[in-house]
Amino acid sequence: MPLIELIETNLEKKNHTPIWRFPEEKNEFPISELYDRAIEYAHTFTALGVEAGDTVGFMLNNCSDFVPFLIGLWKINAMAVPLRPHAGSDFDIHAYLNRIEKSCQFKLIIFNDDANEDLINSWTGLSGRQGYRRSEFIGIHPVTIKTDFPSILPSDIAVIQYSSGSTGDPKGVIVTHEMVMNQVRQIDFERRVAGQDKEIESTGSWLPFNHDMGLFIGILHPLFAWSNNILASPRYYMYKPKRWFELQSQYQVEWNFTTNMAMANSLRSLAQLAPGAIDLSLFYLYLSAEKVSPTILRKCYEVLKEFNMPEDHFKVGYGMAENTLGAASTKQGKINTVHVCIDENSNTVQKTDGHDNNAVEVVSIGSPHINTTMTVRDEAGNILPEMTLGEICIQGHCVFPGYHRDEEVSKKALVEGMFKTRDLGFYCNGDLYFYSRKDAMLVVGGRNIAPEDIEDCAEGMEGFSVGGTALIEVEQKSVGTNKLVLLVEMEDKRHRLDLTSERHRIQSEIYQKKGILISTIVFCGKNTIVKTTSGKKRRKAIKETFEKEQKALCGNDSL
Amino acid sequence: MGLFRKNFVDLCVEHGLLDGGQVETMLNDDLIESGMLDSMGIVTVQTMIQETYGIDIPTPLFIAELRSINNVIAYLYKLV
Repeated sequence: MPLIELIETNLEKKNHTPIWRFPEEKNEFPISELYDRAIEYAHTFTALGVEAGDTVGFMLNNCSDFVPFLIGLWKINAMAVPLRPHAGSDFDIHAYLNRIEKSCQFKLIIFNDDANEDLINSWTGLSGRQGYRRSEFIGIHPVTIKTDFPSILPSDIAVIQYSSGSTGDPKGVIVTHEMVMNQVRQIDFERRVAGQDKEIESTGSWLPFNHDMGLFIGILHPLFAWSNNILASPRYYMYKPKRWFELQSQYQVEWNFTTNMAMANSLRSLAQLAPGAIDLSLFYLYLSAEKVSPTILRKCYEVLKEFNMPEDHFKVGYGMAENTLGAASTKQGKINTVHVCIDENSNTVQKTDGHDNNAVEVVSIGSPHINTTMTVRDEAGNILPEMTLGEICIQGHCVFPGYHRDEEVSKKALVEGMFKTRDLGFYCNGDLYFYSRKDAMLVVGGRNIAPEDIEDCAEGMEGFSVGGTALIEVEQKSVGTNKLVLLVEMEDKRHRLDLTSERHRIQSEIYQKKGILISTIVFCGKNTIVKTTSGKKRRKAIKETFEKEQKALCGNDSL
Repeated sequence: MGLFRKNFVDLCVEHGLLDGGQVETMLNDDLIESGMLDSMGIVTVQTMIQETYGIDIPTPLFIAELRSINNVIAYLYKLV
């Protein structure tokens, strides 16, 4: 049964209608009202020519209308494509849309009310397709009301989930209605195994709906679980994290998902609340979408225990859009961490007591979800034993069938239904540990960043040479977050003041074009950005050099 | 200026941008280099200033010149 049918059955048979709250809009609605609006919107979509199998883009901030838009679209068995609503001021959003349009061929796109006029005009003008602001779409009241809706097959596409598109080519992950149901059932099962073995009554999320975690944790699982729900935007959350946690306490919310970076940025705000000012004794918090730092985990324990949140209510999740969402998570009890030394030549992992200078502390991502198999494999595809580093591979009924209209990339990622994640990890005492990415992709705040895109942006600026920059990620152990460092080769010795203004110019350019703030720009001498004979940047070697000679490089002494 | 400074610092503490116990030592720190502000943090500060003082700080200006709390205070003080 697809999710939309379950909603209809619940509306008919359940004796309560959950309330969904939108604090940013100062609104709340029973699901029945959201559903009624969804049916109205289904008629509007139909009147605008959207049919089963068509794609509709939502370039929207988190808002209450997003929910009925999605349900309404599914009612007519069309495909939803959540798109990134924000971008840097110079980010080429037209190019981003046009790249996705090539594979999606949107029937229409719904934009934010404050979307740029040029964007909408260029979209509707160039492609000949339809684009509406949110309030324009809502204001359309079709004359002809269609009463029969198409049936939905499990293999029909529900969502095409694109990566953010600020860096790298956006790839569209196909998510069918069957995958949606498999994932929400799995999430619910794992939640029970992890200690919440009762019907969940109240959920909350501020994660963006255009992100897989925001879509599933914010909308789809609460619809499945038939829970009360609080939804806000990332901006509402980040503006005052303590306000968000006060709401979770007030409405006795039982779980949230978040990221390592979001928690790192929230703890100072939370620490301002007096001990016992809020009650999080029922609350579970899953950290996911990026590598979790043991430092942040311990800080979370320390700050949130003041609000009665037990340590075993923290969980770590691991997954990606290609597996619909979650693939593994920690179960009952406290989250394990392990100190290990990893020999990246032999790929052997050795446990240490933590005093070894080469040791790293890694946080467990738990064990695979039900109906999911996760193996660690070598380059040839052989399964590796415990304490051996290899590529994490996933098989199961949430694995995607491929990228939308991109057979070539799909073939590389999927081998006989097994998804090769390009994440490196190892098993230790039955727990799986994520160590790093296999490729150069950086993951910061749950966002994938392709280094070459940031480098291209810097290298395209006047005064910098092609191939003369390298973006690396550096762990800040004491803080518990990773920072982005851009190394920039410079031939000439410039005055220190010039370097400062150059540094600010690069930061400003990248932030405006890519929406990413690079906290540290380091100018270095020629040949610091070492390359292979074919001209490829040797990122591992560059990072090692930086870590060894950080002081000299940061002091600009190498120029 | 003294009262304005105090109010702005209190606002930063309220939003979790500054640690209440270490305010004085952080006023001249480079917010970006020190990692106190990330991509999301800049938006938070801009929103906070817009909502409190009705002033929009363009991002290039923020990144190029207003990199410390004291610089932001001096800039705002001239405008309000």
